[in-house]
Amino acid sequence: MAGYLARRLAYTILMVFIVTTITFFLSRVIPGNPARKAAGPHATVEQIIAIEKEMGLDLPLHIQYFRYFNQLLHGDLGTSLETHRPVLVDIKEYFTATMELATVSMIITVIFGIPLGVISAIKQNSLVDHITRLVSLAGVSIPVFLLALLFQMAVIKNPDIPIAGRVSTIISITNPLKPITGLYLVDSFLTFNWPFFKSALVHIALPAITLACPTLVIIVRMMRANMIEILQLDYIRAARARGIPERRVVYKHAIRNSLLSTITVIGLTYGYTLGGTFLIDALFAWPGLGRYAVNAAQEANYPAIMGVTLLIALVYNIVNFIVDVSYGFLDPRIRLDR
Amino acid sequence: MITSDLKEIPVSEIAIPVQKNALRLLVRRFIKNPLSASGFLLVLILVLIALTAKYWVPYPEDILTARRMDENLQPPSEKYWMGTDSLGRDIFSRVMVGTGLSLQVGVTVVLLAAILGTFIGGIAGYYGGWIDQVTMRITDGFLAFPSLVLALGVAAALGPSLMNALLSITIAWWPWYARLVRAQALSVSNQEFIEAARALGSSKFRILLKHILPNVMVPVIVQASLDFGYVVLTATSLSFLGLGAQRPFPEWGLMVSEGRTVFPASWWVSIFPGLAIFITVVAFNLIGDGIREMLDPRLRNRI
Repeated sequence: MAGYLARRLAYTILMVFIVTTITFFLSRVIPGNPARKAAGPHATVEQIIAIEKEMGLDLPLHIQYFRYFNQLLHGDLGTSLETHRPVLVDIKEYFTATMELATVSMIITVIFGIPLGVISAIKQNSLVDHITRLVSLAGVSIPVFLLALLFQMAVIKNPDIPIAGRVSTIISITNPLKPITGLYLVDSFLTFNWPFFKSALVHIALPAITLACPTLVIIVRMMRANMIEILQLDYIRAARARGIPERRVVYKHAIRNSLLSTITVIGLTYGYTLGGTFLIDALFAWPGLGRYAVNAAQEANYPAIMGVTLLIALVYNIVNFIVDVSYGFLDPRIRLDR
Repeated sequence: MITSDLKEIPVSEIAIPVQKNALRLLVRRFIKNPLSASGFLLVLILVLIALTAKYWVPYPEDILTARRMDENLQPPSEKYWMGTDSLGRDIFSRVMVGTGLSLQVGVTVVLLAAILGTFIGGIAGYYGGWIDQVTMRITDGFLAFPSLVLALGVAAALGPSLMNALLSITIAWWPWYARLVRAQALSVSNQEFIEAARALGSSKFRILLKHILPNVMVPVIVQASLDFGYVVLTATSLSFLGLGAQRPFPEWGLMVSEGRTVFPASWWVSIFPGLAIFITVVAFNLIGDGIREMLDPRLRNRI
């Protein structure tokens, strides 16, 4: 196990290194002249040269690269051209908003996706199965923004379900939140601030459900396929032949093994979820990283965009590392392999 | 015995009919599958619309900038089948003409990504050793980004335009092909006919181009057909976020985003282009599923 852990960790670190190298090249090589963009359209040549010096853009590329890495290791994602504050300080609140949304959506995905996949597999070719398959075909094909708009149309007449923001403004004044983690649901729960908790919950509901739909479908498909394959294996037939009740065969023998390969997909779908938050931010006025990044993109604020891109890639890699490690814990074959 | 009959015939002549039969069998399987058949029909209709829309849409002048402010935000009616947008443009005409744009985007990105990925994966798989190691780790590095986030980052760095959106999606997509081709090239390059070519004195590059690449094309084409829907989805997402096609292009993602300011009172402005994206992606995913089932009969009982 230690060897497996070490290998996975080494791989994750290598990936983070390559990811940072890619963002470095994207931020320095592609945009033409960042200094000119930073200086604005009316800057003189002298001003641009001064800014180039200030940003270190006049140095050779490899020195810039080392400086970039050095900054990153000190937790510096760069300085926003817009606010002139460190990007990391800028995005702190946006980051927690995105993490809260992604986590809630992932929970919905897993809680509903796995049972639906199992039911669809056991009742293969039944009405439930056909409906699940049809809905999941629609689910992988529907653009998140269309889904969001349809949901919004459905609830527009119901004032109890808000379609924008993270918490009601009134509640945030009458029952202010004491920030601990920055996650509204967690903080309000820990401080027993129930009105705030309730408001945060109804605000996150629709965005999280919308975001969960595409990944939910992937998990259902995956779980269904795994279950069907495993239910045809010899050891299941053997279990049935021994007279073990079908219910027990499914729960004790089939689901466990189908879950294993589904877990690896959860790491992958987290990438969709993180990408999807960018769209959700725009659709539900959710104050997340996507909103920050899209604003930054429209202002040609490169350090900010690259900071967000890098941060999300980091989160994605950490999540995949955790998924792989837990997979190793659950499946002894993986640990021993190589 | 069959083998004795075959001895008289040159190998090249028996090989072809066998292949043809196999292909015919696969095509039949593809057409008989109701899912893939309906997907194929839908795609055919979409291509037809894409090619001819600008000749028969009711308001061709509305595709770009025409405005009739006195008739803006009309709900769907007999005159305007999908209503009008805030500039009074006929949404039906714009959605129909937008089909071509979306299909072009899909074709371009899939083609570029497949070519780039095949080239890089082929080199890695055939040369092996440190070239393989370095190339594949860099490839993995690109896959270590969530694809939409990477595409967005690149699109933002390049500046918002449809062309840059295409490039950025390609950058997020080629690694999948590189991986696929590398695995294929690895298994092909260990086969005897490659050894024979080497013994005959073919250069490495010639072997790569003449012998290995043709043998990895089938999985690449299959993968491309599976990817098409996702590429269209990603491209429209970028446009929706303002990082793809710019006004006044009738790009579906952009049209959805333009309708957001008048949503939900004038829902038709956003919903119809959104549905067009949905139908297109469904059509290609049906075909993709059909191809997957066609090639792997074990999958036939699955989704």
